[in-house]
Amino acid sequence: MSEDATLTIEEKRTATFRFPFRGQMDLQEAAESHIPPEDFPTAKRRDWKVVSGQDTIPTGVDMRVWHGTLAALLKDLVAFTSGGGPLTCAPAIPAWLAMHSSDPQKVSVFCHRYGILRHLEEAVNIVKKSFASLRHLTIYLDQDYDDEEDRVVIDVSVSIAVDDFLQQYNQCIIAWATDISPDGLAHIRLLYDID
Amino acid sequence: MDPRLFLQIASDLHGANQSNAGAGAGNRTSITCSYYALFNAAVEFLEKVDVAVIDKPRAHSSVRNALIYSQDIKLKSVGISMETMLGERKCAHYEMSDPKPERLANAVSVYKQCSQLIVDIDQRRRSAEFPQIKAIIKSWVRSTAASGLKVIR
Repeated sequence: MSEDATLTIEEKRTATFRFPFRGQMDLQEAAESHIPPEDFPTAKRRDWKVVSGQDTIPTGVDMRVWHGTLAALLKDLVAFTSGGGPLTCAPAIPAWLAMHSSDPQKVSVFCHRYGILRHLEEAVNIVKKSFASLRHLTIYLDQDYDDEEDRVVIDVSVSIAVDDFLQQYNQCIIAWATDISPDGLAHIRLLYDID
Repeated sequence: MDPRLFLQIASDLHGANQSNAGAGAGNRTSITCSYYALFNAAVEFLEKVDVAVIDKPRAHSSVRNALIYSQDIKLKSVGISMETMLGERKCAHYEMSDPKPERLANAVSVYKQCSQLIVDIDQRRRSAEFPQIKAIIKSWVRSTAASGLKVIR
């Protein structure tokens, strides 16, 4: 690969790809062919329209979410079509995530896809402040059997009486509701175990 | 049926003798009953908002999202907690190798939390802010094609 792949948001509703593809390749075809369906949400795939490397973003899409999706897609495409190489928008793994997750790369890609990494960090910070008797905190991706939607899960284990736990839990949730946007909350789940 | 009746079943299940061989299964089922009391109370609330679920497979996340996008801190908190309770329910009835939902403390905490959340929902339904909450949720549903919900009137 002779040049880096880049992604820039040039206008409010237009993203432009600059891809070092060998020959002509349709971006959608590449995505459909090479990216596992679970890594390319159906809703987004339906909306995907690529014309000469330019993608028009549908009205009403949160730009942060869209940028996260494109960044993840770009990374996957480069890996599959060129055997890897320099990538200017590859998400870095923050230390706090690496500390709490057994697969921080997977969590990081998911968070960038939906633009929620900063929300996740804020959620983790609130959890740490809220639960005085926190024993373990782990972060991972999970999918529900019912709706098949992925979530990033903050799973905590505490040693505390039920009523004391509920008081701390409610403080945590109010702080989440106050400080974290709905776009973040829609993809983050708090689980607990009173052990 | 009033979904709050599930809470009585939940209470009976985790209130049973914990030395019985079936206590773990009872605690797991208590968690599920508590969650479904909450989920159906939230669906009932949305019906008062004139919003109905149309995407049945995604009903749980659709109902939660309507609450977290309501711009009302109390309902937003309910939505966040619904997500927690949904996760605890999933663990209770799908993950047999995980002993967590068999512990009494977890069943009791889910029961108490769901009971309080239903009270919170009912209070917001009777509050002076309800007309504004209703307008915001309906507006969000109308402007969100993938909400899994529809405005019914």
